[in-house]
Amino acid sequence: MKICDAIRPELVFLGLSAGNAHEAIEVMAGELAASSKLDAAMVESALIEREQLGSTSVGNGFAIPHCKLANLGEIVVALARFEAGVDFGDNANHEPVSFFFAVLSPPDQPAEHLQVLSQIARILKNADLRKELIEAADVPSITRAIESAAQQEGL
Amino acid sequence: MKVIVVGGGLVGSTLAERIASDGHDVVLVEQSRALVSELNDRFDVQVVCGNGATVPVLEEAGIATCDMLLATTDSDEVNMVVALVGSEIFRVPKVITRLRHSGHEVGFRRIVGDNAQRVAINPEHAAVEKILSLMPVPGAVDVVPFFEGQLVIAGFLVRPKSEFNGLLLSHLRLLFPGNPVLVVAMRRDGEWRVPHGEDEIRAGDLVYFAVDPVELDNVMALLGHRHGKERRVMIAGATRIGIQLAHRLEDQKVPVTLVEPGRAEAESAAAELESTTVIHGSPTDRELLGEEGADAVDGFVACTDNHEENVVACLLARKLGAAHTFALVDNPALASLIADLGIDAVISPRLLSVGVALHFARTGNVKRVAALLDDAVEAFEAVVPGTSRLVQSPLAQLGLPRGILVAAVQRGDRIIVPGGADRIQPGERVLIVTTAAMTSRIDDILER
Repeated sequence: MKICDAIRPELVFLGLSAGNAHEAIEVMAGELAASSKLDAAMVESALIEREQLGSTSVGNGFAIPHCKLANLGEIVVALARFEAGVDFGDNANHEPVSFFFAVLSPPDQPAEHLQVLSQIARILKNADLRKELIEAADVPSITRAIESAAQQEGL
Repeated sequence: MKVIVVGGGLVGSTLAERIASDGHDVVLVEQSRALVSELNDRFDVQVVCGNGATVPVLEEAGIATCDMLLATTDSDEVNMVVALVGSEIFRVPKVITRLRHSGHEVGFRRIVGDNAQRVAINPEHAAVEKILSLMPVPGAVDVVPFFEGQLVIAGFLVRPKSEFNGLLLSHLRLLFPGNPVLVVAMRRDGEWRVPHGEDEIRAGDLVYFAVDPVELDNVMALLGHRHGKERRVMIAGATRIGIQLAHRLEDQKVPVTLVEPGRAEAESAAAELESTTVIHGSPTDRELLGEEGADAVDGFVACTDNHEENVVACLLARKLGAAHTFALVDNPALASLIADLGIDAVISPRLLSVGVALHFARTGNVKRVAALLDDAVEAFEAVVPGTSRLVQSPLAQLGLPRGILVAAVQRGDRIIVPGGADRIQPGERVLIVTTAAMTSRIDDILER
């Protein structure tokens, strides 16, 4: 599965705000539930559970919260931008997080799940992409930027 | 320690060099004058020219005060005499001999008795064991279990299409938060290193992962390796290795097809083996391999006596679609030439016997040694004594030299990957990975 095919414009949420990591995940889960058939509480608790194993912050203001979710038909990728940044409890290593790539996967697709996570981590090495994601004014600019970064990475 | 190595071929010279680099006093005995002068040019090891199976030559090499004797010539009979002279006449404390025929091993054992300091190494057994350990992990060039199998080190060549291509090592914790998966060594452009921090995995790298076995299939999936359509193995060559391997796979109830070019050899293999299908034909005949279903096999093992032909057969099988190919190649020059051609594992019985002998040659707290590829990087599992430098402060503050990595710790019944803030406790078992240049520092770090 290619990261570009997994990103859906209706699941890109800009202009969010939250006080901490837990709250940010809750806010995003709420947005996600409103735009899909997913249950906000289930998404939230699964993401929080994964976060407790170790922070999914990858530095430079980005995090890749992810989890496996029963009854999911396919991998869901949602993007969320917190304009003022969120303290991720990982400040010893990383700065506050302002951009989420959230990945929710069916439990029976472990390889595809890891593939998508790996592809996101790889494109986020691209400083131009990071800048565009933080600064983009609208959703189409975001999806375009990701497509171009993925192409550069050979994905 | 004073060590005598008899036989200046690939095995003997490699062993002499490695043992000398561990800081021991090594004398190499070789009969061929031409080889002796070549060895003198290449190595900084004392060489005695003469027949190592004779007492005067062994005395000249200093057998009277020798702590360890290794018999590594190409002849089983010579090795047997050398080992018996060392063992029975000079009572050398440790004796290691390379014996290919299991019948010789029986005789050796009857004479020296049940003595753990008298070791016979059979390179062909070692090759069969190596192939059997690699077989369940398609794509791996090496698989070595540690901590009673709770962690394995598996080496893979990263292909351009692999999902690891371009991944930072620090991201592995993101992908595998629950179970240990880390990179302990990598080779890029011929250079080995024990990686640190923000290294990136790239296509063409040979990467050694330390992996919880439950994550092996996930790691393989990201690498783009898969199991074959059928759990079937095709073996090319009814050599002793081919036959032994077929026997062992029959025991594991794995269907085997054996392709042998010699009619007499094929007939005798068919008579000896039970469920194996024996085909008389050339292992480099593309049409034949296709007809016999090489495309669907999980493993293809080329172990004829012609090692160039083994390479060709594996490349053909690979092209047809075999999931995992193994070529028996004893020539290091040939092995390095074919490293990037897509053959998953090159098996060298000779180099394997070097690894087994080195394992035995080491003593002390190091309970297990695994020489990884090229002998350039090693992984040790060892118990850390209370006197060790390792227990004195958190890892980050120990100032360990670059090239030494404390990769994992057995803590209670769990295997953890220690971070810089972790401190090793006395009596814990650790997995340490080092570049060869740093190997001599290990005893220092463990003991003081």
